Formats: sequence, structure tokens, C-alpha cells
Amino acid sequence: MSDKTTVAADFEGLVRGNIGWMLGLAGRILGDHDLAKDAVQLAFSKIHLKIDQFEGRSEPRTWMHRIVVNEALMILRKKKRANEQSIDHLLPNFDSRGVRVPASHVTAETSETALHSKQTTTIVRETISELPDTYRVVLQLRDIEEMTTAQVSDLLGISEANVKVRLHRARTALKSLLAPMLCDGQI
Amino acid sequence: MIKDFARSMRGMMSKLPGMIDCKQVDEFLMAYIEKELPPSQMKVVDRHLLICPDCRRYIAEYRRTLDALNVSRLENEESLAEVPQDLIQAILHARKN
Repeated sequence: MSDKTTVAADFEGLVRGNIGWMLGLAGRILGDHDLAKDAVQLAFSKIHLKIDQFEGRSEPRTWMHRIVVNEALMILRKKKRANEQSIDHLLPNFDSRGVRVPASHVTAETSETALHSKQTTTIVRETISELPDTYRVVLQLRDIEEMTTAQVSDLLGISEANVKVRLHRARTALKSLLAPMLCDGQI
Repeated sequence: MIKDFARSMRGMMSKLPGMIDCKQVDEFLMAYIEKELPPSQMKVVDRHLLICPDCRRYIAEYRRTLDALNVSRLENEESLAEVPQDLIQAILHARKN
């Protein structure tokens, strides 16, 4: 049986087998569990409608991943941009000679802290959620969902250069927010 | 005082031929860490890092942030969100309609 036939044959199995990771994915993009549920519900209605168009050229999960990301991004675009504060204070400072002005939290150059996965994940997730949507979404898609720069550029409708700029600023801001925890060896 | 002097020296050294300043390092940082720069530009950044402990610390922190992101990503793969049964029922019900 082809992938296409298998996917179409057991919609309930498809829902039960995939809803967990889809909710997690939508939640990470939207930063809100209820909105994530909306995104997943909309995604499954699209999947149901388009299931006959699924040509089996990619894995079903890859196809569904793109649909749920699209639905989550659509919801994000409709949300009021209340979370769009500046991150300039989290970016590096340089003096008039172009010399770096060190931040107040200074970690050792070769600090070897063991990364405790559960604790690190909790801290990283909470810290990412503090970033404005513009930067948070690019960071999620590139560094957590491991999409390519070209894929993120396509999904967000921005240039690849812009994706790289946003990603660099997002990582830099995250680094600044995590610096006290990195310094204390919490992560 | 000593730190100011050292920073002033670094500022002057970064103006020498074949050298760049911290601000320029920051512009190249992502490509440097992802090894996407041509070898000649990688060497230019490496030369700056030899004389600049602040940039070395900064890059070490940046790498540790990426490591933390990586740990977080792997953890995400292992853990599935708790699935609300009412959502499953709503999806299946909508399909029937």
C-alpha cells in the first residue's frame, strides 16, 4: 500500500499518532497552549481536506509538519503584536574604537559545565519565550525544529539574509538572558 | 586602569593591516561559528581572538548557548505534549461533519 493510501485510510490513527508532537511544535511557535490546540485543529482540517493531494513524495510527517507550522504562523500573524519590544539592550556594546564593552556577567572562557538536560530545557524554553515573536519564531524554526535558512525564509516570507540577521540577534539576546545562569553553572 | 589600557591597545592593534575590531568580529560571528567563512576570513577572526580575551569569552558564551539550545532540542524530541482527549474528539467530530 502506498503512503498516500495508508494516510487516507486511517484518519483517526493519523490523529492519535501525530497529535502529540504537533501540539508540542505549535506550542513552541505560539508560546500558548490554547492557541496551539487551535493550530493543530486547523492543521488536521487542512490535512483531511488535502489528504488526496498528498502525493507521497515526502514522509507524511514532513508534510504534516509544514501544515502545522503554517497554521501556527497564521495565528501568530493575527495576534496583536504586544510582544514586540526592542532587544537592543540584549545586544553587544562597542566603544567608539569598535572595542567590545564586556557585559556585567562574565563567564570563564573554558567553563565546562555539564548540561543537565531537564533543567537546561526548562530554563532555555522559559527564556526563549521572553523573546519578541519576530526573533523567537526564527530561533525556534532554525535551532529547535532544525529547518534550513531557505525553508524559514520561505515560510516567513522574508529574505534569507533577513533570516540570518534575525537568528543572530535572537541567539545573541538569548545568550544575554542566559548569561546569569551560565555564570552560576545552572545550565 | 590596566583594563582600559589593554582595551586601548586592542583598539589600536585592530587597525593594523590584516586585523579587524570586535564590532567586525560580531558581524562575522555566526558564519565563523558555523564555519561558513572562507579560510582567509576565518584566519582574520582567529587573529583577532588571539589578542582579545573579551571576544574569546563572548564566543565561548555564544557556543554554550548553542549547546543549551541543542540539549533543549533533543529533549523536545523525546517528550511529547500531553494530548487532550477532547481535542482528538473535536478533530474527529469535525471530520465527520
